[in-house]
Amino acid sequence: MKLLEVKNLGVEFHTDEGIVRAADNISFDLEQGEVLGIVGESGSGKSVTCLAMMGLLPMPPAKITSGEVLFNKRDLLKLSEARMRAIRGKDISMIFQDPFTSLNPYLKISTQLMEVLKTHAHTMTYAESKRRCIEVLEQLGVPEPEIRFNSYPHQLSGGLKQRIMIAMSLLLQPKILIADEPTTALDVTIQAQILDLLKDINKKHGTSIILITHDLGVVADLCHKIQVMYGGRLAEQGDVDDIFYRTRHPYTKGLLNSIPSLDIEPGSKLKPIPGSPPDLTALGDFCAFSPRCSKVQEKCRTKRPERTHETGQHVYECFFPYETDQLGNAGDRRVGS
Amino acid sequence: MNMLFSLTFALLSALPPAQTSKDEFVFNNRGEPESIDPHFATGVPDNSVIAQIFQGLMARKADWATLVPGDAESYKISKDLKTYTFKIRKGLKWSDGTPLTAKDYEYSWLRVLRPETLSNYSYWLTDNVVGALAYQEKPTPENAAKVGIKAIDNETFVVTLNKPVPYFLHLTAETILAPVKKEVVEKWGSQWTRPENIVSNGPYKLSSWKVQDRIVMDKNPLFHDAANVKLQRVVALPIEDRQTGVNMYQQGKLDWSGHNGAPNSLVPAFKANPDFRIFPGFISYYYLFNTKRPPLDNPKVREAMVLTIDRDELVKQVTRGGEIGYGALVPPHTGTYGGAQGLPSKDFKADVAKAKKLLAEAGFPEGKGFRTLNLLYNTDENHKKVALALSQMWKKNLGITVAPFNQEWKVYLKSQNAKDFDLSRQGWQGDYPDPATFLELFQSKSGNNHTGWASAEYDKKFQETNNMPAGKARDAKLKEVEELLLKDAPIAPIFIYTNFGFLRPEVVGFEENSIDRPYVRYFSKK
Amino acid sequence: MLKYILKRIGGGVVTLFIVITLSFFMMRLAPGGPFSKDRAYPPEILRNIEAKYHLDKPLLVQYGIYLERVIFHFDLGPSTRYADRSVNELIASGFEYSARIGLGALIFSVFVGLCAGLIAALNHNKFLDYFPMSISMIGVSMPDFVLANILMLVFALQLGWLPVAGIDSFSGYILPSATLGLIFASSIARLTRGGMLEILGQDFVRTARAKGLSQRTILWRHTLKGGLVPVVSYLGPAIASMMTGSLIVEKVFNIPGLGRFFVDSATNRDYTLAMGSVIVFAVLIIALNIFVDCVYGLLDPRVTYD
Repeated sequence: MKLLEVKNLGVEFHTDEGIVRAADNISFDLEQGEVLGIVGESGSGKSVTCLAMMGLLPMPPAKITSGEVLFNKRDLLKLSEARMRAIRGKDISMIFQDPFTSLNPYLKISTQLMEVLKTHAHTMTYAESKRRCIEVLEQLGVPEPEIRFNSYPHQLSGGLKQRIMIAMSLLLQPKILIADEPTTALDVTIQAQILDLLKDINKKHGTSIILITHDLGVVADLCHKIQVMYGGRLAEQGDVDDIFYRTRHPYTKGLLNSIPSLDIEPGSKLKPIPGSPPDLTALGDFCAFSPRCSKVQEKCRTKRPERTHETGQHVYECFFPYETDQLGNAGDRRVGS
Repeated sequence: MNMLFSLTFALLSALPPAQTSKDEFVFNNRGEPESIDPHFATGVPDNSVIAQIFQGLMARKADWATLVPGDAESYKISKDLKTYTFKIRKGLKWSDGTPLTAKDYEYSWLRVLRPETLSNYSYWLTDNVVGALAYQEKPTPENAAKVGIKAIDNETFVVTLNKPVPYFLHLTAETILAPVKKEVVEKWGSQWTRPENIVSNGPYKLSSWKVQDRIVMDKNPLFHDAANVKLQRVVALPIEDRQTGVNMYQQGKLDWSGHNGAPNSLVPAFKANPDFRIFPGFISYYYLFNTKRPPLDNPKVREAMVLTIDRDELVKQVTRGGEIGYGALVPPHTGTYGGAQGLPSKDFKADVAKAKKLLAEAGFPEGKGFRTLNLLYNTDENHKKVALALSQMWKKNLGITVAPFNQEWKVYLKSQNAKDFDLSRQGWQGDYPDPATFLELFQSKSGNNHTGWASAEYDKKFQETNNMPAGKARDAKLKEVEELLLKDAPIAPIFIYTNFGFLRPEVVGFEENSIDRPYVRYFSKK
Repeated sequence: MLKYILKRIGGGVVTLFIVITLSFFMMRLAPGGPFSKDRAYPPEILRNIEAKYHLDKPLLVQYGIYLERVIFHFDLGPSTRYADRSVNELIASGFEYSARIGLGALIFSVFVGLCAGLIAALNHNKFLDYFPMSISMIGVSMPDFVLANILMLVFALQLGWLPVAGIDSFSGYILPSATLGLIFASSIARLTRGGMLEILGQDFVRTARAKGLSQRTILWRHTLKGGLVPVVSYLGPAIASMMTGSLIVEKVFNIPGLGRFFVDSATNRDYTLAMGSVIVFAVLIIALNIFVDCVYGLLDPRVTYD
């Protein structure tokens, strides 16, 4: 069952430097129990898309120029603020990148957990609410949860803080959990733990997850579906195998190539994608990736590529995508002009 | 801007009904008294309070200039003018009911002489009374017996002077020589003037004194003339800000806005208001010359500078507080004294021409070679205006440069005492209605003479006036003395201050007097 | 926390001692003394006066006498200007009124300042932000005697709602407290707005929104504590200023407060009264600073006292 349908979402920011098209014609679906990974560099529009869905963008300077976001058949973009508030934290939860700044240092953990329940489930008694909080903390592997419950954020480590953020978002068993770069601010060992945690939640409770990240390595294990964004636009989208073994878009290819691997010879160089991120005020009717693409041709610079649907899930926007044969060798395939 | 508002308001609105009651007199005392010990206090706010609660041998009428019997119902002066015999009224009482006699006067005047009383005006006695100076220097009982202050019996008080003093009776009417009660002073020491301790003999007594809030005085039923005292209560408020004082008057909270109780700059506009009164005062405003510093040691230079002050222009355009431009030192109409002429004539242009000639004769034609003089004044907007105006006049008329500089009050006093100036502003208020109170300043041995000018002839002539009885002959001699001073010009007289303020129309009996002192015992309200 | 307070009090006493010593000696540097007058005292009298107040003794001896009196007897000495009153009395009576006005001003300024600042912060870059902030700019730049006179002219003289001066009734306190309060309210408003805007831009506010909390809950529960921190640090010395009286407000409204003593004692070289005023002010500032530092700990749990 399709839980979430995002159709042609467009978000603009009106700034002094010009109009920034942060998200341009973005579409994806999310099934029940599915994990979608949205991958891209900073400024690719991955966070903006999700914040727009949740109604958390300040409007002005942001403006939703097109699209609809259907959650249980209702368009979230058209809902009143009051209705959205009822959904946030209850049906759809979001956690953020930096647990050090995302928790309120002035309030106890207990306050910050209990208020979620007070807001959305005010019929629960204090005892019931507290029990639920402790229960979730335990599930997430927080040691000595009672003590942590009564602490202040500054008394906890980064990993612990992030677990608490996750706990906060799961108290009411939301249908969708949006995790915006949840591990970027943590060190690698903790990263692995958190990712395992998310996997666990998805398996045990069937919670759908949208995982936003810039690190392709992270999504491989966890996600069912992956969407690659560039310059606010969709580059490529598909299930994990599509993206890793039937890569079409040069940007996706570049990302894959730049992942360091244990098999590389010592002393050899990393392979970054040359060039720098696009100026989002200067995008138009041309391919956003063209300045950096190794396969660029004149056509790319004068017309924006249309969306190509290869198979059911596999979608990309490129005039000169990569080809793979049965053995996984890349080649060129020309798409009709 | 606020002044403009207040001004418009003052001119356009009618005075609201009085918020003070019919049998009290509420006024702005313009400041907090330092002390109300009559032997020690010197300030104006102090004296306006003391004048209500104490009385001396002689008293004053509401015009301040006329003497009437006070505690002494009569007096006799000896032929040589040196012995005064006062007859104290029978049955006088202190405010606590105990009898007041000549013996109280003897005690009080000796107290004035004693150094620990710290009386700044004790020189009124030490200069004039036999044995007084010796007693002040060594206050032993032996010396006390030798002082010419004696209570022969309860009703007879004899004062023996070492020379005739024509204005001596005026001195006895001043608060300095009021009586104080011995037992109270000795019991309470410096706390004797507190409302719970004080005992006095005047038409009112001190009921309460809240520092910086108000002083309340109620009618003294034991006063010998209580029958004629109409108002029951006097309230003195220490409002320093003149604008606030005017505002309170406009709200009906004051009967009198106080001595000079309005901002100077608004005086020309307030003149139109029927409640506002303005009349000559008793303060002379002049500049001192440091006659020891060249070129001010040359009287021609000094005369030239005196002649080139355009006094009319100054009071009309610069100070605008209604002051009276004056070319002499002693204010006119001081008692019976008519006033001196001084150097300036009625023709300013002629004076300027004469001054130019004098300056050339002194060796500085058109001001060439004349060094820059400094002019000291104490920090105040009004003094600054006068200093700048006069500097300009001297520049324009004589071509000389005078540079004003200001110092804070205490620093200014120090500089003045040290004679660390070329010119210095000074203002002097007379203490009693006789020219001597001004003229004594410039005797060579006077501690208040900062000009360095000393004239044996002046000292001699001035002493002669002291040896004469009050009257026309003496007035003529005083005029001679003053002209002598003015001709030699150790000072440049500028103007006489006026007294001004708002007074409610219901108040009757507050005559315009030179020092603007309210003698509330004569007041009533219609 | 207790150890911290004791340590601070100890430090405060040392500071106070230094302040007293420095002030004592610096005051004597100004030329002139309490008894220089335009009509000179006869020398005998002057000698007596100076002896009475120990002014004839060497400076160090005077200092010793003064310290002994203050520390062991809490006696600030006699006033040289007000011959029959002690400095203790004068300061006590003045402080009573200044403190009342100060309290009124505190309530007024905190109430008006906080409200204005909060409204401005919540309506950032809209009319409700610009309007209160412009007014507070005027308030900060306008000299206090202009403000005092305008308020008096409008409310007392023109409208007649309130008395012009004097504090015989409660209504007499309103104008002076409001004048003094407005002066500080301007700063409080700006600090509140700044503090709140900073907090409102923090990540945890976004988290709170993502949890579905209402704007009101976010404001009161999540942001107020942190947003008020700059205001608290401002209030420490501000309260000391309010309590010790503003000279201008006292002069215009004729309040018998401390402010006048501060200034007049300097002009009159009334050393004991001036020292007394300095001590009162120093004690207040020190005490309030300690208090404010403790309040931080209540607001921000990250602050520790070891």
